[in-house]
Amino acid sequence: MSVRLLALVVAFAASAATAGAQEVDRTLPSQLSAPTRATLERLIDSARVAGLPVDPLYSKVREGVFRAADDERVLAAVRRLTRDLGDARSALGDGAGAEEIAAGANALRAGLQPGDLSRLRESRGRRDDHPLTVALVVLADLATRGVPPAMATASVNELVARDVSDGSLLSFRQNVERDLVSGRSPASALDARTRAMIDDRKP
Amino acid sequence: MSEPDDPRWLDDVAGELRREVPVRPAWRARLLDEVARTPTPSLRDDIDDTFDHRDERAGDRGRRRWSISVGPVGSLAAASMLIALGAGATYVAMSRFGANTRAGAGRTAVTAASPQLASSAPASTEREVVRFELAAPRASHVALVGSFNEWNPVATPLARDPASGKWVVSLRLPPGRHVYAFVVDGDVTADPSAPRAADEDFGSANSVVFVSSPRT
Amino acid sequence: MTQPEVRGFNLATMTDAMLVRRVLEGDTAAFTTLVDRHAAACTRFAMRMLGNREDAEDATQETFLRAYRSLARYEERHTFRTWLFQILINRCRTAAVRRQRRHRMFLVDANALAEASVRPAAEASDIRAELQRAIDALDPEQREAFLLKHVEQLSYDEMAAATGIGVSALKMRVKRACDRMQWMLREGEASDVGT
Repeated sequence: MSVRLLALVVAFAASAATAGAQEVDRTLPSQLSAPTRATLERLIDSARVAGLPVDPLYSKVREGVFRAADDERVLAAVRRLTRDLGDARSALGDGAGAEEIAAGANALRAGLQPGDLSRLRESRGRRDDHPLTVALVVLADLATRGVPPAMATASVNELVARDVSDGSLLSFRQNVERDLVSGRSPASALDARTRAMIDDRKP
Repeated sequence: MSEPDDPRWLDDVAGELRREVPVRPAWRARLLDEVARTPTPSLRDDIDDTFDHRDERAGDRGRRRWSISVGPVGSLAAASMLIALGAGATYVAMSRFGANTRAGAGRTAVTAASPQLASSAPASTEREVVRFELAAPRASHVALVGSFNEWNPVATPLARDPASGKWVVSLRLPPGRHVYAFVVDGDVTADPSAPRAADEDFGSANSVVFVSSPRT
Repeated sequence: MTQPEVRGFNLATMTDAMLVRRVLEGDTAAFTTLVDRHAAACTRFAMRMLGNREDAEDATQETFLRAYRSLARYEERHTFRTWLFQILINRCRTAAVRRQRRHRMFLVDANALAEASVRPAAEASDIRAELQRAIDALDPEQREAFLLKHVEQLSYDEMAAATGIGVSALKMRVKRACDRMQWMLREGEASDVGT
């Protein structure tokens, strides 16, 4: 009964952490061994109690199974993601939504620092009705393509400070990618595309 | 069980009430027999006796039919907002935020086909139709895997669009960030013109699609 | 490039939404999997709501049949369970109204009604009987909200979708139910608390 009580307390404590999240299958695949599933349940429960979004964790497990990763690798990936989610949440603040935190975790994984995420948040200022999810997606992408994170952050911060739309941010990313592919240096590509976007918005 | 003044009493009460209620095999057999005698439901059904007219709740009446097509894409020709992905295509987000879109002006809702389903106020489903495309001329089988289909390689096959020769599928996705990849004849590959997800926990990169939510 | 093998893909690992898709594509065995996943919880809820197994089984049976017939109407914006519970809640409400009429005809009073409620499982422990009496003595609306929240563990959003009632009203009902349950259990009997 006491184990069950503990499980209940955990369940009651974790209320709104996943509000607004997509519907994700929260059962663990039977392809994983029972001990692995038990460990994962504990890990995910801890994350849930800490108020972190758990859908990305379940999704990570499913991805691992799909890719025929062994149990150890799946566990390592979930542990790592949990850590990144926690760091992202700290950097983005308590008001951050599940999507922002997930995108933030990915940005950290790409090589951004928590400080970069905090600065992004500051650039947004009081406009917290506009989530930073897309800005973070763009940052993660640029970092994976070899753009130095600090440089990418500086550019995206400028755009976020000007409340550029999500669609424009994604166009910006695509343009920078094209420039990189055609041989332009990251600094030059960012500079040109950031300026172009800002100039476009001038009346 | 803890006393009612104990703060844990609710946990205990709930735990007790949550005890498994076994399903009687005879009951189960009777239900499945009845199901077997019932015509198989399909997307073309017009029957709506889900809720009695007297005790139905507002908002359920006249719901749009669910229109995910897992298979040939032709039936989704009327789909509204398109996100075009794949080599050479412009990757854009939903038009609400002012970006250019291939679909042009405005967002048209996916409306119900049957007049019986027409509701007085259009229910705003949050999901948007997202079109995935991949140029893979020599492939014989392409599927989509991602966070929205539990990374299940058989759930969402793509079909070849006869006009463009590309592999395509359209899905209704809820707002937010989704991670995905293509499976091309067994090989996992990211979408070449979509943003990348950074982690390569399992050896190869994934792609990201972002679906914006309709602002009320 | 990795070469993933499709590991043991079967119905048991599919999500509810995927199973619904399969049924609509013609794989009726997938519906059996859905029944097996949700029947116990539905029966449990119906039993707590209606107080006896027979009515509960009827309501649950009817729920699954209606769900099956109108499966094409399921939209994935809420979980399948929420959608299913929406149907079940309506069935239980209808059943409760019918039963009230039936019982009125036989002039059964509230205490006797409580006595008639089923003893869960084989043993009839005092605590469980007391609990069921306390549940039975709640207003149906409060009982419904309490069970959905604390037994079936739906989120408030899911509850709103399933019951058609707003979140703040639901929270109020749950709170009142908890207060009343606590009071009743403290007093040691499920007295008729009036309004």
